[in-house]
Amino acid sequence: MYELTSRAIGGMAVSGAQKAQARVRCGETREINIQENKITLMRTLYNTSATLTAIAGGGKGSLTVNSLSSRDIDEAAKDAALSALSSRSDDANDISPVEPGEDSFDHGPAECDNELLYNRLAEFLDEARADYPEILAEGSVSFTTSDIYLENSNGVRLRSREGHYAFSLGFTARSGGRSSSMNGAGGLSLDLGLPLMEQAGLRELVAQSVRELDAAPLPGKFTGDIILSPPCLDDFLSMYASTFLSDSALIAGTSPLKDKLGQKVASEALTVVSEPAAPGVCGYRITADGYRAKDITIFGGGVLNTFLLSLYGSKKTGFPRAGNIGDYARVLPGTLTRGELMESVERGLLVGRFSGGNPAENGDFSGVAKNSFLIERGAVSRPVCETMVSGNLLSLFSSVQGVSSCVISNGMYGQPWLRVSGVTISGA
Amino acid sequence: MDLSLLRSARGLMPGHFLLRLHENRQWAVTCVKGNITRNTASVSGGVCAGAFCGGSWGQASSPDISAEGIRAVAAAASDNASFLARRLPLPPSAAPAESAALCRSHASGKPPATQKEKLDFLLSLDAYIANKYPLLQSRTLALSAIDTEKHIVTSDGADSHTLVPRCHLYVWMTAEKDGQPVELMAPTIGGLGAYEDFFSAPEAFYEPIDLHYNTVTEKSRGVRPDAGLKECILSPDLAGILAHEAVGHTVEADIVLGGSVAAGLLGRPVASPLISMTDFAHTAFGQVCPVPVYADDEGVLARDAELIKDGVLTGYMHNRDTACKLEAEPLGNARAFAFSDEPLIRMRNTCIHPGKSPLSDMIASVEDGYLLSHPSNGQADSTGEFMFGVEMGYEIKKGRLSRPILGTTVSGVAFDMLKTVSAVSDDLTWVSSGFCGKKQPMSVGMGGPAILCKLNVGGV
Repeated sequence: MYELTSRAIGGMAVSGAQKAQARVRCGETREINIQENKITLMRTLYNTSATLTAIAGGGKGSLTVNSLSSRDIDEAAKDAALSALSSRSDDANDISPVEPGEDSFDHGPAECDNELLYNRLAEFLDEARADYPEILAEGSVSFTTSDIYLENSNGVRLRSREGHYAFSLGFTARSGGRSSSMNGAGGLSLDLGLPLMEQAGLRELVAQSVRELDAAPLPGKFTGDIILSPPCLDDFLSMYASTFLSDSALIAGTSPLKDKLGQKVASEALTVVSEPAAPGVCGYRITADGYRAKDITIFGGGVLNTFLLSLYGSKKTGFPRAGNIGDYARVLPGTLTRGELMESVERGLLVGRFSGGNPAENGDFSGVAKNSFLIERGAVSRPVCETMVSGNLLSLFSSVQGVSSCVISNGMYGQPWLRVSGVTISGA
Repeated sequence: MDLSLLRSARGLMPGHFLLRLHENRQWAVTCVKGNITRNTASVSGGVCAGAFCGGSWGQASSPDISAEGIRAVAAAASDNASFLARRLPLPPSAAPAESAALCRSHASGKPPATQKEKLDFLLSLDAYIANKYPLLQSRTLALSAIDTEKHIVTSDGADSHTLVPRCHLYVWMTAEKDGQPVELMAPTIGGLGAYEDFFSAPEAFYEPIDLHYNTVTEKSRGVRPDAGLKECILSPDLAGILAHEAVGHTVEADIVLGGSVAAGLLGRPVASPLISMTDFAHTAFGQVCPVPVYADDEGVLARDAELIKDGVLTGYMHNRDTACKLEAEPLGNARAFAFSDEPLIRMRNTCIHPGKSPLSDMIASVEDGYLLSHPSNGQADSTGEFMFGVEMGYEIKKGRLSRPILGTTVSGVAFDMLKTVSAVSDDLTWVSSGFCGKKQPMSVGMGGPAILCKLNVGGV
């Protein structure tokens, strides 16, 4: 494959590029799908792609093709360079430098076990039918393997072979003409070693779906505490990252945190790490901008340690480039049991899922609390529907009242339950 | 695309099969405060084979569209179907359908613009905004386009070839209020067609840019809405997303079979008699729709799917499997986004039909409520509960527009909310710049008039 990346870089240089990067991927996915509790479809996806990035005359252009024939790579190299020449010159356009360290990674299984894929899915359906007959499920289990080769004109050469299993299941309880809100769970695994029902908190979520058949609206409006479930916390962290810490927010200068690096911007209870390269994590080993992926601490005790800037974003803003893009995140667990976390909540919500509009640039958010339960006098009382939550992301993560000691890990995140205060909760 | 290879591959798979040659050609440029942060293009194409064995489907896909590559995916698809059929025999489930034998192209007849012309166009608009409106905190402009070309042959006679290009211009402006950013995206410009069909002289777009600056300035003086159940007028650009999220997803037959509240409601009133709604295949009210679908990815001839007529639920959207299970006729809703994707039941151009009320009369009839506009993202649920983001709006007090409001999220339960509709305006707006997400992204058109109804508004 390095023959192809070298050919592409040479082609871009001949066409006028001063700097160039080529990333070639060959991969295969096996996937088995269920619909209405039945296994219905098996897929095999062969795929290849080459992403060629040229910097010419100071401008940058990028082209992705999925044919790897020499003719198509040559054509793509020419077009990438032409695209760069057409663009505006910008000193921040650059490619990664050579850095000392390992340059070849081999991670995860190389071969798919089709029987394992099928049996894990069949096992889940058998358990769901037996224990939760109201549940209707759809989704898939898959295995993906990729060979990635990245080379640039600075002399960087990185290779990574990655393999992992994945599952994604959605479900609804249906009984007596009533339906529960859709819920779901998914994750990545290096070996699919556990039954699906025992991964990513799936059993608890499925059981909750049956309870949610009795969901009722919450009357009135009040300000109170909410407890974010692990997947919901992960969603809020993603919103926080894209709204305040990303290239676009910092280049536009709209992030309220643009002058807060190294300062306390969140609760001391909040330490967030991002670990795509950690041992045992499916993750990735090479970033899109041509570096080895590194694990990072985004917040340490509420202090903002890093923005999530790419090489371009870093050179544009003058802040350091991040070791990754902030995914595979983990909030470090606290010391409280889940019972202790909610025992002093007089009236609030346990929020299973947030279905909301994109937050405003100042962090204001509002949306529907899905798969959620009313907390009264320190205990979960009943499922709710048609209930909205509103607040501000900066205030939310500055108002952490407690972090659970137990976490849900799914191969993409490892999150605890998090209690926050000052959220507007309004019913229908 | 070499269509003859696909036709000659018909004999490769026993039983019922689908073969699809499919290519997406995309490009995008983004300019943030004068910086080109994105200048990308992609060509992603290949062949996808689907084989039916018993009641199970096998599928395989590959970028290799040579005769050998097509043979390989045909064999892999058959193997996959057999793998499942050996373990779990299911009864066959594919409704008969009218197969599509057609060729439709919306390719532009104009000479293609160069990448430099597209970039210069965007930078020219950016410079106009920067020079004329220096008080803006930030501005982002983006152009993106996707051409989708498909050739489908099936064992029951379909042979269709379609080319559908789409291109859009997006403009965001960010003003400041008390040191806080206040952002608003302008109504998108573009739709069905290529860059050359919509964009040439930047000056032609100064007027909508000036209008948008006035709107974002108004928003920066906005207040947060009061949370709770409110009387709202959804502007036409929001009614389209209402049609899509609130009703459309709820009546996709795979969602119906998967537990949607719409199960069992066929023939029953689900909305005010003022509401009629159709998922148009390619032509609505005498005009070509923003996302025309002539043949779906199961080779079915695409026709309109009537969903609600005068408030009564009259139909679901189907693929051949669900049509068989629910004894309905498939009308061309099975769509795949990428060459490697399996066809799923997707909307095409979902639209609430226009009514008879002038918008001004509707506003005058509201004592205390909101006029909501500028949609962002939305989501649906099997319960019928939906939500979508609203980027801006106005208070209505005693029949008059009052203070602007900041962005919020609105929600409701589809078939409850639709019964609260008390007026439908006499105009119609299509929105088609977003992508619907349901395992795969998908281009969809969403249309509607202004709607007066009751909704749950998020806020303080």
